[in-house]
Amino acid sequence: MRVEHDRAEDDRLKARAAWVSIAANGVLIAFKLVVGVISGSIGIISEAVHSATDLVAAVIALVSVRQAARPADRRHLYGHEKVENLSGVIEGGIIFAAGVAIVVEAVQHLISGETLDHIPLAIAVMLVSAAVNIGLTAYLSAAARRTDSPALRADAANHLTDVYTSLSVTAGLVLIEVTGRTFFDPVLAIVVAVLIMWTAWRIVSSSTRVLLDEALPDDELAVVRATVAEHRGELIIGYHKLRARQAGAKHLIDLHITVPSDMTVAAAHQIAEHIENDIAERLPHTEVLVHIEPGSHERRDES
Amino acid sequence: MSRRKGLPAASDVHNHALKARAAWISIASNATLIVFKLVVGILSGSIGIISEALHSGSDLIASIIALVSVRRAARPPDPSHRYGHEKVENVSGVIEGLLIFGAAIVIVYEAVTKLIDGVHLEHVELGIAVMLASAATNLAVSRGYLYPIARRTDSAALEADAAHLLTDVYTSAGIAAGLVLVKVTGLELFDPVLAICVAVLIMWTGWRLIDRSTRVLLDEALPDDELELIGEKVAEHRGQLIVGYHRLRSRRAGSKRHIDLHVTVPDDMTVAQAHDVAEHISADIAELLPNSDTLVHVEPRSHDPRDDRP
Repeated sequence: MRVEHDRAEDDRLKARAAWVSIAANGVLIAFKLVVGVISGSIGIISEAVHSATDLVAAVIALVSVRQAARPADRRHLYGHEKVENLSGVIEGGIIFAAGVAIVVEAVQHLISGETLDHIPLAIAVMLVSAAVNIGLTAYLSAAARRTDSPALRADAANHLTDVYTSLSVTAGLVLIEVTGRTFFDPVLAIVVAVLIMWTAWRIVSSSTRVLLDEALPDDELAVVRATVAEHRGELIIGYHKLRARQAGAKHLIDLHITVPSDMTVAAAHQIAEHIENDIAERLPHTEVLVHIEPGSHERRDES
Repeated sequence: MSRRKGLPAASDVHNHALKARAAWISIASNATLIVFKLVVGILSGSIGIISEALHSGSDLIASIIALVSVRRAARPPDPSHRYGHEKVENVSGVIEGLLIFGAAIVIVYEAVTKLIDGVHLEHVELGIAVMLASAATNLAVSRGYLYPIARRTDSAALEADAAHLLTDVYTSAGIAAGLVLVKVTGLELFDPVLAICVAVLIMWTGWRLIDRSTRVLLDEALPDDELELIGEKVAEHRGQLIVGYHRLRSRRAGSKRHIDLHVTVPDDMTVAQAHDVAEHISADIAELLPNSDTLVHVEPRSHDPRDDRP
């Protein structure tokens, strides 16, 4: 029953990453607005609107990592970590909506035939935007991996979809410049939209699994099993009813262990603490709750 | 230790059947309303009534979601869902909330369009009759049937479906009132204005549903009165079976309650005795709150002296 000592540092790292994402999006919005207004290109100005939705998503990520960092309180005794998973669902929803919006626009372009303006400038803006988003995605992904943060992972995925969008728009514009056929732009946009919706689905699905208390991944469960099994024979008769779930970056585990029925509670509790600490040491951010049972009581212990 | 070993208790099986039947009835009543509205709409040629059939179509989808989720929630724990599947009901609550919210936005959009373009009403009497029949059906299914079952089985999915049908009652009654006012005063403005009032009410219902479901998904504690009941029950054993208890945590998943707590006992008590105490406390809590799964962590008195305080 303990939380890792580096938890506070992880929380700081997560908040900083979310702020970087906000700042990067703010800069992109300003950049696109300035270029759009100077050139008078509606396309580039609407790109600024796109970056604004990213800014909203980044703000959601910041709010959720901050909320998730709050200590357990009277109404939330398991902590607030699941806020991050909820924000993952919301970000997934936003990404999905962006995909739908792209399809709608692309279909309209296909039907109406479009009027493109400022193509070289648009290509330049797209490439700058792609470069910023590639850097941001790399940074956010690294931070998400290090802190195991679903909110940052979702934000990273969101910016990766922006890289797809920018690059495909660029490719479409280049193809139009080269071939003179304007339908390349909407066709590429639809391909990208499908990719984006797939990303959105993955984020929603992984967040929902956590909200539904799905078990830990098999490799992490294997670590827990191996750790508990080390004590078998020596300290405990066996264990069963091992359950595990996640909440944000936190792992919550509980299990039943069996010990000789005439052992004292003091001795049994020491064993329980020992096992709890061993698991927490190998699996960061883990809370373990052990229920002790007398050896004769249960016959379902895992072999 | 959980009171349940392997098979769910008899009352749970009963609840699952009850929940599934309720969801089926909601599906049947929506299907009936769709047919009714389609027939009247086609016979009278009223586009308004036919589009009402579409509305009942979205209700049908919502009640199918409720059925799927109560069925999924009933599945026993499996290796990848050791805590059970009950939270599916809460996710379906969020989805129903979003559907309700979406319906409200569509209503506002249509009403604003009507305000701008002017209203073209036809078959007003027939429209009122269809609306009233629809409102009566939905009111009966929602208040008379789904809500009581939802309360009895503690089902978040059925509660969401009941709330959804109730928003339809608001809609139908609001539209009927609007049509009556149009008929009486001759002012067609009443139709869209009442629609917007109804939409606000619906958004509020949608928001409440999302909020309630989200709290469960975030592992919020049980309501204070339930926690107090548990605390009092456990405290009854203080001085006799246990020295005290602490770190009482609780959360919900659909109709299930997950509870865990630490109890302190004398250091030299044997594990066999301590386990009897733990089982006793779990059984006490299960008696108090149906459908609860309690995990007791026993600690020696020396480990946590704070429970020694009276």
